[in-house]
Amino acid sequence: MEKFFNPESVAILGVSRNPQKGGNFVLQNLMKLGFSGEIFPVNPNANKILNFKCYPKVEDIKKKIDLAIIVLPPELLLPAVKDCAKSDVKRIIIATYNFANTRDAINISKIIREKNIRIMGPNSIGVVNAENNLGTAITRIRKLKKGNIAFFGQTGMTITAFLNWMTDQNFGLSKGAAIGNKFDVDEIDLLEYLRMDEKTEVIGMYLEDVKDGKKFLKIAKHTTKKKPVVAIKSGRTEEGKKAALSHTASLAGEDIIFEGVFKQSGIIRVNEFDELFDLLKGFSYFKKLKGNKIAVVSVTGAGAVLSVDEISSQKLKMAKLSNSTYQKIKKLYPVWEKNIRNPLDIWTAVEKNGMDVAYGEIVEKVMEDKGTDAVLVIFIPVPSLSFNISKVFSQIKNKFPDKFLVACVMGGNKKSSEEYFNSLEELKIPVYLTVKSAIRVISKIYSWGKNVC
Amino acid sequence: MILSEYQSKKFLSSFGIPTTKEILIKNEEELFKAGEKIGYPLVLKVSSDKIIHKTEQGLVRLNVRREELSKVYKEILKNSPPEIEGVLVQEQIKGEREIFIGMKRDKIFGVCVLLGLGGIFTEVIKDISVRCAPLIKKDTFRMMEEIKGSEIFENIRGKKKVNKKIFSEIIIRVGEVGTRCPEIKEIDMNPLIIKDDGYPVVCDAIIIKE
Repeated sequence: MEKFFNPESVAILGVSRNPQKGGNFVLQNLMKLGFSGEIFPVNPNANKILNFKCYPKVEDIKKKIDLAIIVLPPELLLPAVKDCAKSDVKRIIIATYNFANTRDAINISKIIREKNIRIMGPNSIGVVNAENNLGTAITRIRKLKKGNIAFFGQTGMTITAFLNWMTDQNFGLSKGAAIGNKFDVDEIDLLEYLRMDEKTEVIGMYLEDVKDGKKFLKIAKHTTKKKPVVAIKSGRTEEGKKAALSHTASLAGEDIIFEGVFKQSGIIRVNEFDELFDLLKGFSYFKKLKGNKIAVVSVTGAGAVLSVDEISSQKLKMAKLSNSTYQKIKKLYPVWEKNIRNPLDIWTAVEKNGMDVAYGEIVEKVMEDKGTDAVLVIFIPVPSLSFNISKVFSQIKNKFPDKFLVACVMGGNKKSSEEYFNSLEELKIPVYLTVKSAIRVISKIYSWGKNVC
Repeated sequence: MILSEYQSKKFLSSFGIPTTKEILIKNEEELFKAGEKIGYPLVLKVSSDKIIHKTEQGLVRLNVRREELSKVYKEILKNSPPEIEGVLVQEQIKGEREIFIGMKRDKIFGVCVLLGLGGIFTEVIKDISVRCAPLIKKDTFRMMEEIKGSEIFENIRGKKKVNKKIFSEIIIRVGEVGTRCPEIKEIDMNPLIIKDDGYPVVCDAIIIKE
C-alpha cells in the first residue's frame, strides 16, 4: 500500500484538455493541493496539458513511475494496464466504473498476478494523503488538513462526506481511500497498512461486504489491538424467512454474523455516520480511558438528570466524589443549597460567582478527585453572561492532561454555540450536541481500552 | 441428512459435551429395565432421523412415573409413524433455565457458534450472540455477557449460577466439532438446561449433515 499513498511519481492515463472531464480533475487536484512528487499526464492526442508535458504512452515516459491513475473508458482499460505493466508500474488506481467485460477482467487479473501489480478499483477515486498533499480523485478535493484520523470506504461518496465533515472540525486526517469494487486491493490491505502507519492513530471505515472472512477477522483483531477501528457496515436485507429445519438456520442471518465478527475482532460498529464521526473525533483527542467512573458538571438541571440515565444505559458508573472534594465545592454554592452531588447542577453556583469561577473551580476540583476517570461538562450558551471559556478551560486542560474531559453544548443559537464549540475544540476538548452522543463516545472509548488490555 | 436426537447426542458426548443419560429401546420388553436404570420421573421420546418437531406431534412425554410407564409408552407409539429408530428413555433434568447453542457454517466466515436463550423463546426473542471458530475463552465469556438475557447465567431465584468454566468449554467444543467435521452442516442444541446446581446438560440436539 505504501506506494499508493507515497508515490514519488504519478502518471495519469486519460487526461483530456477538457477541464470538465475526470482525468483533468485528477491533474488539477494534484496541482492545487500541492502534491510534492512528479506528475506525468498520458494522452496520445496532446502535447501539453495545464503546462505539463503530455506523453502518448506510459512507455514513452522513460522514468520510474510509482503510481498510475487510469481514467479511461472501459474498452481502453486492458491496453492501458498492459502499457503500465510493460513500463514496470506496480501500483494502479482505476477510476473507471467497471471493466468492459469478463474476458478483459480475467486478462487483467493474469497480468497483475504475473507482474506483482496491485490495482485499487475499479470505480475507485483513489487515495488522499495529507502528508504529501496527494489527492487522486476525479472530483474536486478541498485543502487537506493534517491529522491522525484515517478513513476508507468502498464508495467515493463516503470519502467526500468524510472530507467535507473534516473541514468543519478542528482536526485533520492522515490518509483516506475509496477502494471501489475491490477487484484486487480490499479492506484487509488497508487495515494492515494503516495499522503500521505512524501518522494514523484512529481508523474509520465504511464497509459493504467482506470477501475473505477468516483473513478479515484475523487482520482486524490484530489491528484493533493497536488502534481503535470504527466501522459502519451497511446491512443486507434478510432473505425472506425460509422454512428452516433448525433454529440455527433461521436465526443466523448475515447481519447477526457480522455483528458477532465485529465484536470478536474488537471493531467498534456504529449504525450512522454522525456516530462514526463523533467517535473518530473522540478517539482522535483521547484514547487512553482507564476507568468508567464519570462525573458530570452541568449548568442545567435537565442535562444533569439526562446524563444519569445515559450513563446507566451505556453501562458506565457515576463517580463517587470524596468528602474533601464536596467540602471544597460546597464553598462555591449559596449556603442554603442542599443539592450538591454528582451529577453537579451548578446553576446556583454560577449565580453566586459568575460563569468563570463556578465552572473553573468546580470542574477543577472534580478533575482532581481520584474517583473520576472522565468528566462531562454541559453548557448552555447564555450570551448575556460573560464567560471567558477559553481561558478557564485551557488552564484546566494544562493542569490535567491525563483526564478525559468531554463537553456537551446544548441549545443556544447558532452563533453563540459556535463560539463555545470552537473555543473548546481548539483546546482539544471534544464537543457534542447531545448528552447521549457525548456519553456514547465515552462508553465506546472505555470499552476499546478494556479490550485492548 | 439428519441425525436423530439419540445419534446427535451420542456424537456430541463423544466430544465431552454433557448430555442426558438415556437408553434407546426397540420394544416393550426393554422398557421396564431401562426405566429402573434411568430413574423416575423420566422422559419418554420417540427417536427418529425423520422427525424434527416432536413435541407438536405428541411424541414427547415428561414427568412419566413408574406406574404409567407402559401406558405412556403405548400412547406415544400410537402417535408415531411406523418407521422409527426406537423410543428414548431419558433422565428428566430439573431446571428452568434453558439455553440454545448452535453451530453454523457461514459462507464467508466459516464455522460460527451461536448462543442464546433457549426453549420456545429462541425463535420468538432471537436474543443471540455469535462468534467464529476457533473460539477462545474470552469470546465465550463475552457471549454470555452480551445476550440481553445474560442474567440467566447468574444466581437467580435461589438457583446456583451456571458453572461458567464448563459452559465456556462447551461453547468452544461445539466450534471444534464444526471445524473437525466438515461434513456437518449445522448443530442445534436446544435446550441445554442449567441445572439448579449450575451444571449444564444438553437435553435435546439435532445434527444436520451435508
